[in-house]
Amino acid sequence: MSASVRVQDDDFSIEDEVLALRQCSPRIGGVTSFLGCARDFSEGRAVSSITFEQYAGMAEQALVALHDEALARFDIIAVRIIHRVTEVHPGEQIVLIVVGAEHRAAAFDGCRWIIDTLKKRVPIWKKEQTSQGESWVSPHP
Amino acid sequence: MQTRNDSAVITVLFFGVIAERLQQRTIKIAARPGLTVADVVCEAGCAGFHPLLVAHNQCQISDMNRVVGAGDEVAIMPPFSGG
Repeated sequence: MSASVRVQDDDFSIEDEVLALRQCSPRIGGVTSFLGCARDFSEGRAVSSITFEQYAGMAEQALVALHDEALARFDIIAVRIIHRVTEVHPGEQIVLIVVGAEHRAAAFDGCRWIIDTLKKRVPIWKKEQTSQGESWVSPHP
Repeated sequence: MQTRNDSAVITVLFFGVIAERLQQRTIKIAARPGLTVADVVCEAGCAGFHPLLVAHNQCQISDMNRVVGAGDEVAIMPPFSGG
């Protein structure tokens, strides 16, 4: 089974990740997920692709810390976090978070907290290739 | 002062728009007693970047008065935009 936290170039399968998470425990009664995808526009400009830069090592450490903190903060059973750092095109997958819990409320809360906190704590940056040239993306709330 | 003697230097890494504007991804700064993260940011020419984030040996920090030593790694980073 692949690691539950990964930074990778390759695409991922949501179905495979959900299956892997569900195999962690028969106590899981609810699974929530967040999938981040590349848009074809940004601030009124057409986007042809997005490239990513990461602080290798620290990015994965920060994701592992996020994974562990989520398990401690919320009444959840298992978490998977995968973030791609290659060039992606509109419609392609960027980030996946899958959370399993006994009940839905904790699964939803944990998933929301993970993606919100990931954006603040994980050293990954996006650069968009647009119709008006390249530009680094500012953090979104 | 910059040097290539790895036994007595601090490695400074730049990312994102900061690396692009400085046109470099890494430099070495000579270690000296009492050198702080704030000193490193200044010597690296990054004092004018706002906002910026800093990591010391791959841990994000907010204390710019933290002392750094030979062999340490300091990353100077723009706000994150992953996800």
